[in-house]
Amino acid sequence: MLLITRRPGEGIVINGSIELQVVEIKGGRVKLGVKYPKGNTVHRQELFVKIQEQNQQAAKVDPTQLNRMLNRMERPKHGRNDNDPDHDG
Amino acid sequence: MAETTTTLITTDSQSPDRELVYPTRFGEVRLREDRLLSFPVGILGFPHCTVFGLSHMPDNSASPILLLQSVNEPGLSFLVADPAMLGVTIADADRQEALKELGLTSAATQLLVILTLHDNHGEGYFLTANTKAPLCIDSQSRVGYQYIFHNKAYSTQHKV
Repeated sequence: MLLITRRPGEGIVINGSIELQVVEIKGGRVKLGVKYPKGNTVHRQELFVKIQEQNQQAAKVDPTQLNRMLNRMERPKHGRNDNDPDHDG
Repeated sequence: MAETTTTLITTDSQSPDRELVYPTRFGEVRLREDRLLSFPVGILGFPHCTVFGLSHMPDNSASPILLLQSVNEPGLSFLVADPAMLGVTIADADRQEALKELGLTSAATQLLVILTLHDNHGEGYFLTANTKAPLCIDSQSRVGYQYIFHNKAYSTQHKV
């Protein structure tokens, strides 16, 4: 990872088109300002990671489980499930 | 809205000779090479997957659930749906924000949400839709992006 030291008011330029500026440093938090052209996106990293993980989970949907769910929705609900696991009381 | 989804469908029963066959875990899907969808930056978490085909579910063409099949990685497929078909409302202001940032035009753009199936603690299953980050696809250029809404009202796991 490239490391660059900057003071408030200073910035860096990425690919000649994306400007990242340190706006303020206060109480252990850094406020960043980003200027970027249309078609680019900027998000907090944790949100980005959350959506990546959601996509990875979505890619693993099991067809057997899906069919079971859809069949259950189409059929009227029945009172008892014969495959109900044993339970106490 | 539903009509736009139809134009995005990559399969075409009229010309089976021009189709590519993908044996997915949901069954066999047939994609027309000249009607594929391009995702220039991929889908988040899958940056190398830039070409997809959209198909009805192989075993149920009437289902609102559609299959987004990766061409780069034949083992990768997502379940997606038109949010309107799931009773999910995307506010017009958010839609406009997405279109503006992506440089897409309103009339031609279709939003699709990615679905995830969850095990309900052994009591069957339920589906959630990622309404926070829908796919925005231009049905004319057939180019799409996964867009993350800034609005905190949306969820990555909206129960449907």
